Amino acid sequence: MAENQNIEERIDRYLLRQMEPIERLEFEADLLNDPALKEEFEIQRTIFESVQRVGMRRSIQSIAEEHDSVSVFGRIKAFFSESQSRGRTFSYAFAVAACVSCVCIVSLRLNTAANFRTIGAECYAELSVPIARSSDEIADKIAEAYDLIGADELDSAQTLVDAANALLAYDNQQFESAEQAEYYEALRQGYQEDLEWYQAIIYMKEGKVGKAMKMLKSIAKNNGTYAEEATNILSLIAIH
Amino acid sequence: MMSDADYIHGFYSNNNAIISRFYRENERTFKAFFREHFGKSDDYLDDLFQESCVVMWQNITSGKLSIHNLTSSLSTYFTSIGKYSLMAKDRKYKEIANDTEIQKLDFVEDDAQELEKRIEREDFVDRMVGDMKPPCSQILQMFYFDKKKGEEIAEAMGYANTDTVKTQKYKCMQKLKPLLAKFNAL
Repeated sequence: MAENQNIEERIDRYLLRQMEPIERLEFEADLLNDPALKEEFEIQRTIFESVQRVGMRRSIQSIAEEHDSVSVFGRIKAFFSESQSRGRTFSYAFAVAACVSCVCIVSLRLNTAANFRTIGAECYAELSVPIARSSDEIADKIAEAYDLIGADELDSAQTLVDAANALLAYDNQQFESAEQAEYYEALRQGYQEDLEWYQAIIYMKEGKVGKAMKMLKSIAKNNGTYAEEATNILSLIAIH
Repeated sequence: MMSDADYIHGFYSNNNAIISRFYRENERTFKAFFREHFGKSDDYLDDLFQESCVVMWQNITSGKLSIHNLTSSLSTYFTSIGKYSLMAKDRKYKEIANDTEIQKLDFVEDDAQELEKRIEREDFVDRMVGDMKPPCSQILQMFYFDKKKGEEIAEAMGYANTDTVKTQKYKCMQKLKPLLAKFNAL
């Protein structure tokens, strides 16, 4: 057992890159000259790679679960459930205000604007950080807009969103292969959806109720990546 | 802003925060591409995306992929891995092998039979390893995946010293090796 254990430990040192260069070369030479060692090495390497794969799958799986659990809808729902008690406190005041309809309408609109500001901030917090790609001006503008929305510089962010939309509208790139063209089309689709979502977040953060609702309805209707979030926000706003 | 080199380094060093960020940034475009071109369900795309992350991580940690031999952007490379994984999962997509980006991947087997054999062997050994019970599952994970030192494993497992870790790890390997040797002999 001791000898076999020593062989196993030697192979481990090679697999885990713990050998010095000379020791590594010696081991590789032994592998060429010793079929039994070679066979043992192949089996051990297979197990080594498998343990790594299984470990990595578990890591990726937990990242995926974490990713799902912090979906924007979950956070927004949490916001509304936290504000239930606040809502109840205000309901009496609203009942009184209902006596004067115009006051009520103004109050509701103010309340919705405040809710939208909070939702806009939550949606931003959940956004993936965009990637600036070299020689891709649209991606650069999206990345800059992302930073500006985060810094609440909403006017400047709006300018960049408009500029990115204009670039997207006039983009007419040629590609060498169909695969490249297909990939770029998917990328463009992603840019389009990102820009619409950024626009909705800007409107929400600005508290522009009408424009935000219109944009969210359009996103919900297009059935893209953010459709579910947009639908959920609209239904929550309708309930509250 | 993270560069491709940052991501490769993050995968190489098992940095969960960086891997998580790569995951979030690439998930949507990747799934949109495969949904549009291959019409796969969300569950299938979840598996494909995660499996492609695992394959890319393996290529990086084994030294097959580094920033020096990356010939396209990392996201294009990652999509190629996705196509290759799709082909490996389902042979009806074998025409993907002619894809120009796929042909650049140096880990690709040209021989379809070799590919099938490798996948079958990997599935078998992954099941064996995944089904292992503690303490073997923990020791092998800490030793080969987390790359912890003997002292750290001894402390985590409550063993007296590193000799106990070595003996226990040897015993765990002895459970797996005969099964694998038998599978290889088939």
